[in-house]
Amino acid sequence: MRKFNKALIIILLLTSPLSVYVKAASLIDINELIENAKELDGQEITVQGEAIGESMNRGDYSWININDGTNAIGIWVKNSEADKVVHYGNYDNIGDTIIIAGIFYRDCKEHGGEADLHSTSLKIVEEGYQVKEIIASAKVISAIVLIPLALLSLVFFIKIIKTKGYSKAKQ
Amino acid sequence: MDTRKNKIKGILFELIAVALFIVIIFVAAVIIMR
Amino acid sequence: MRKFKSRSYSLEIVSYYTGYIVLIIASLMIIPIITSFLFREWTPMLDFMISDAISLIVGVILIMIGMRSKESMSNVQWKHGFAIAALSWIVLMVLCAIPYSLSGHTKSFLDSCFDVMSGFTTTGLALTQDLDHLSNGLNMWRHMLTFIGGQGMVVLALTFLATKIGGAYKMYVGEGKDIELVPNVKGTARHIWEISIVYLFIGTITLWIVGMMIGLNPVSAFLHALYIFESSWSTGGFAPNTQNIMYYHSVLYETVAMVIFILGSFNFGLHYAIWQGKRKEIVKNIETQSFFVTSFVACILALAGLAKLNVYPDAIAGFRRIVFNVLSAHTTTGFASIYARQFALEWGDFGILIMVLVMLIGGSACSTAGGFKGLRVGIVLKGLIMDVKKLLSSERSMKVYKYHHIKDRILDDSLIKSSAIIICCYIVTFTIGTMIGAFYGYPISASAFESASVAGNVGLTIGVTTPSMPAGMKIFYITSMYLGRLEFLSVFALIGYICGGVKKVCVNLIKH
Repeated sequence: MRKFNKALIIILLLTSPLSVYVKAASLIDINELIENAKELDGQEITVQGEAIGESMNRGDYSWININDGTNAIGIWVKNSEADKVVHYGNYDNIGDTIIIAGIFYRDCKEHGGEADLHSTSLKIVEEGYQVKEIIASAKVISAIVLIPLALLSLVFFIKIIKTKGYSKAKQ
Repeated sequence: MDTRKNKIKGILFELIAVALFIVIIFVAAVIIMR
Repeated sequence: MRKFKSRSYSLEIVSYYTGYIVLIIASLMIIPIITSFLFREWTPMLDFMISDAISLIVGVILIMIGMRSKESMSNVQWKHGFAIAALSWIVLMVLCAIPYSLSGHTKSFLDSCFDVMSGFTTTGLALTQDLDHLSNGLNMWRHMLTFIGGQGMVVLALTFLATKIGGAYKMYVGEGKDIELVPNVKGTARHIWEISIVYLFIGTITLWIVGMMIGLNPVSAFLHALYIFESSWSTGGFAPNTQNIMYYHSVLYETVAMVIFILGSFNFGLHYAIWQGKRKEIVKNIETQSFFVTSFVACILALAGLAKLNVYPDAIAGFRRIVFNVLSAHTTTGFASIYARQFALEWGDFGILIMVLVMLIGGSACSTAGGFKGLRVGIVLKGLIMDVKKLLSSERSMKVYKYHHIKDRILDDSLIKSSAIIICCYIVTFTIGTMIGAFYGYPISASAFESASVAGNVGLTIGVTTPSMPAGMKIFYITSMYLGRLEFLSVFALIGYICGGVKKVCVNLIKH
């Protein structure tokens, strides 16, 4: 019995730091982060999202904006870490999916009261890529039909204006 | 050319006026949030 | 029989001019086509080509219907002017929504119409999804719409339709701009464009340089500069990214945008006067006086109120998060330097109340701004002071009370009355919007905030405007944006006109 209790205590002791580690690593939606901004102010949290737009270098640090589908937020990250990110999302690219652990500030004093994240660790989860554009055939067909129609009506219209112009000049 | 001079002066004047307005409000912000 | 003929004649006049306005907008669709071409965005290019073709066809049809009226164009009356202004906005809303829907970024055609109306009215609320992956073509279009909407599509038409205009002034007034820069409307329209284009150059170049300074690459810095300028000058509030102005994380960028949107909210008549050398106008004018006073007081109150709640740590934060947003609201721009939900969760009721008030007061008349307009607020307040003075002074003195708006004008009762009536219309629209929000279950402060944003064509959101919003609210908001921008009279004229026409048709049918 005693051995069992000892074992139980040892297991409990071992798993409690584990649970703290698990807490720090559990992801939070950006929207949820904003909803609970007051409680999470100054806390270490983890977010995951797609890097979008481009990184903006400000001296030794850079801004990387990420969008996780719920919302978007700015990450303040050291240049050495920022350089890990290669692909950024826009119309024809999906950006690198990155996971950031860092401190969330509801009204960051360093950045004029902005709600932002100061990164402590940045990791690439999935590489981004260029999106292949697939042009819908329905659109091509519609264009082929409509554009000539439009040009025809334009020509027709210009003709009518000219004839009216002549008839007016006659008067 | 006189009208162009007036336009340029006018634009500068407007920009300065708005900038001044913003500065005044910023000073107020500093006072209130000390 | 003669009456019946003249009725259908009117329809043709309206159709004719609306058709021309449609054609002009159709020709502007070339810009996003070229943009998408340059960036090899083939699908958006096709989207715009299709939309352009449809718009061209519709425009030509409308003009053809009204062709007969061309001979007697001097017959264009006030009611036609209002009806043309009102109708063209609706027709254009539908046509300009086509590229949005084709892009797949909106969840319904209603959402696309909402975004277009939001652009035209320079409101700035967006239901378009996934802004961060929007094509350059569509972004170019969205921001162009606010710039054009700000100038007023009618002014656009007036500029180009050099010789055709018989009812020009009436269409212009129908649009909500009733100040004459120069005695002829064509000249006024051209001056309005000149002022905007000059600032377009100055503003875009400045933002471009600042954009590169803060770390954007030259191409995107240029595009963003153009978009943000168009959005600021028109007091629209659209931005190319989900985070709105927060994307840039820069106090310099925000401040430049702020200077532009404050200038954009000023009366075109004021710009014109200053550009002619009458610089004192900026302090003598009743609107600038009204604006400087109300915005200064609002900033002070908001700063004090939020300082009490300890929402922001220092003056810089107070400037960037409070002053910026209050001024963005007051000029009815709609750039937000905090997240929507933060207004609801962190600002408290007093902060929200200040925002509601400044959003309703709005910017200057004959500008791109919305709301009651400083001119009306100033007139009504001076009217109140005038009445009090009249009460207190002796009955024998016949004092004439004046105010200064570009030139000295008399403060007479009919002016005060019409200003007060329009203010009432805005308040009624705002109240109905708040009620509808509350009916659908949104908290009252949120409903009021959003309704003020819509009625005042502001564009700030507290989180109510989403694609999952009830369709009834979307439709009301579209209506409210439209009414607010056209300042009611146009739309009432259009409605009255349609009702009158329908009544006539019914009466004629019954008679036979």
